[in-house]
Amino acid sequence: MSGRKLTIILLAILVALIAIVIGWWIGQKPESELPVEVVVPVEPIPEGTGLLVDLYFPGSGTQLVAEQREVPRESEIDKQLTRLLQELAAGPESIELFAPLPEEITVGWIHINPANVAYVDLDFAGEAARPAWGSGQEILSVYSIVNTVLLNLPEITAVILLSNGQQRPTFAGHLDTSRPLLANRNLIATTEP
Amino acid sequence: MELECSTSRHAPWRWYSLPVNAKRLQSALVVFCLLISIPSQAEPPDTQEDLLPVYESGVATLELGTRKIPIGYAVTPLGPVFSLHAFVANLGGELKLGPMNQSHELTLGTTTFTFGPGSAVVTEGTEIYPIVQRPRPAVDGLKVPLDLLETVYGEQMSYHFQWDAAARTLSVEKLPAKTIQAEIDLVHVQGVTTVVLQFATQPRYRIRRTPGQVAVEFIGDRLEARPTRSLPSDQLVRQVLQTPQSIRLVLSPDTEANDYTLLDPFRLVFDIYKTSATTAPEIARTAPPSRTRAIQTIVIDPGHGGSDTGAVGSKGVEEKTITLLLAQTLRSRLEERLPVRVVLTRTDDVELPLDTRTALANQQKADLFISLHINSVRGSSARGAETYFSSLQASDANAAQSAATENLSNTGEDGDPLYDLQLILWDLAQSHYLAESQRLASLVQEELNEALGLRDRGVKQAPFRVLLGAAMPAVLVECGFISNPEEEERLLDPAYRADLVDSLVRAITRYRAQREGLDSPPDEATP
Repeated sequence: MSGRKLTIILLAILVALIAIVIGWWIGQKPESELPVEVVVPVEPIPEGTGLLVDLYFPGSGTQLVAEQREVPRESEIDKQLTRLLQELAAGPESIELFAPLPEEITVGWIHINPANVAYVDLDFAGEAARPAWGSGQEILSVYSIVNTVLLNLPEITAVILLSNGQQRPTFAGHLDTSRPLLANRNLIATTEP
Repeated sequence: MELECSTSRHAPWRWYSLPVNAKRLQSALVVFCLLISIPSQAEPPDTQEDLLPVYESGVATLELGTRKIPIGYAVTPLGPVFSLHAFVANLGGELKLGPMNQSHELTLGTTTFTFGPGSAVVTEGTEIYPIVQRPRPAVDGLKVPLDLLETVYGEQMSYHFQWDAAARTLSVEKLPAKTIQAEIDLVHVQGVTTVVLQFATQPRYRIRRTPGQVAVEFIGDRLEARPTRSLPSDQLVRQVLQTPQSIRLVLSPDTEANDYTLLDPFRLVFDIYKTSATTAPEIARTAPPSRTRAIQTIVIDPGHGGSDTGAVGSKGVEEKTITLLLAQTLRSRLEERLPVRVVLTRTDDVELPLDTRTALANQQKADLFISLHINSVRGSSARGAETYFSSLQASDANAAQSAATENLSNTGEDGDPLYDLQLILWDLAQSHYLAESQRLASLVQEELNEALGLRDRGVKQAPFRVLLGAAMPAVLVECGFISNPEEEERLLDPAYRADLVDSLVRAITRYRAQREGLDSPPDEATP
């Protein structure tokens, strides 16, 4: 094979690779105006305009521990709820606390109905569809979300948790999640864990 | 000069000799083809991460009476989906994007249904309707599955849908209004009047509240005219009025009505109570049952089972195994030492739904229900036992009120007519036993603490699914933390498990003695 042929073939391969990368990138761009995941862009919070919230993270025992954060203040309650859940999903700052949910479970869509009941859909992936949790972990995971929502957003009256879009009797075989859930202050630690 | 491309040995291409510039042009063409072909090989991007393949798509026919309307459709492995806009245009409704453009809201009259491409579910108020597949965004608008149309237009406007896949035709016809049957019960217990509307089939209805009245208004359906059974006179509900279109409760002044639904059969329940503080509903609701009996049957529920392992310890010990071992030993010890019948919800490694466990206890007419579990949290430091009884809601205020009723009497007359109604309302049955459940939980926790030297984690309340439907005092005992390696090791020790069981036997014996009015537990009961 002549050098010229080789050059042309190599050039073609190089451009093909570039084309693949561009094609993949275009394929990733959503065309729809209806995002599935809850995404709110992160922006710096101008001083004094944020909302101070308490995020309730599972401690190493059987209690929830509050961490205070400042999140951007939103004019609409559903956006504020999204901000709050994003902040909770980002996890605790303290290394002694745990994220409310394992990595394979993420917060999907949210909806607030006219009675101000918040629906929070959790995406359970793969084996997490039936988590092998003890009741302690189940209680802390569920009420980490429920307490964070209800104790920071008093407009919301109750939380209904869904799993992959469906309401389940229970997530891990203990707590009844078929009904709207209210806050449980008894789980909140009054001292450090 | 020939340029042979050997990408395929079976069908080699043969390009004819061309000048160098022309060859460059060939290469450029190849590159151009790659650039345009690779993105086009991908399906149109969609926001659904698990987008189903489309078997076919195109334009189908929507038959609406004599009209034939073209409608966009697609067929996935889960069935057909249809362009929603055609139904909104021809059947009615207002469609708009929901908050943050994450969902669609379709309003028919005063009812709004919410759904979106993120989930296979439709919500209406607090009602949730699963659908077979998620709506699909498409160029011609959102495509939705047939059961979403049946949920929205079928339930709300009595439309019936029939899809003929061969003819690619969707027929829509309006059904006549259906006649529904209802039975009405009314009972007054401890300051709360409960009105139960039981339906043979679930009606379409809305609840409308006006001062002094609560009305159940049927949508499309009509109530069957039947002789009205006389209801007992009541101090909180003055009248129950029936028309084909509605059932109306006329309330006394200063009352409030909470409503909720129960399934199988469908029941719409109203709790009516005075708004004054002296008759707070939660206190009244937690009143113990009006009849008492000796403890004859105890149902022990070994938590989890089958593919539901429960929590798993760091050494691989599974919660379901330990709970079954504990339950089997507990049955033997109880039957040895007390004149009681003990039933296990499972005697093998099998999976059993939570509601079935409770239903079994109710069918056995159990006097006590004890669910055994082993706890687990993230982190390995938590240790000790804890005992739960049910909370109707996970609300602190309610829990406090429940605790305040601990000393309410548990005596009553046999054959109380209210007892039957309590059984009808069995999935709220535990609300009548909270005080007794709390008493049992306290004794269990006390015995576990004393005998085993475990850290006292106390008696707690949580809305455990397995306890809610129990029509008897019911507790859930977490016998230690499998997430703590030391406790996991101890739970494998038969002697330690025997100590745990003896603690439970002592607690049950003490509870039995208190409930049956014995001065002290019988000697033979002491392990």
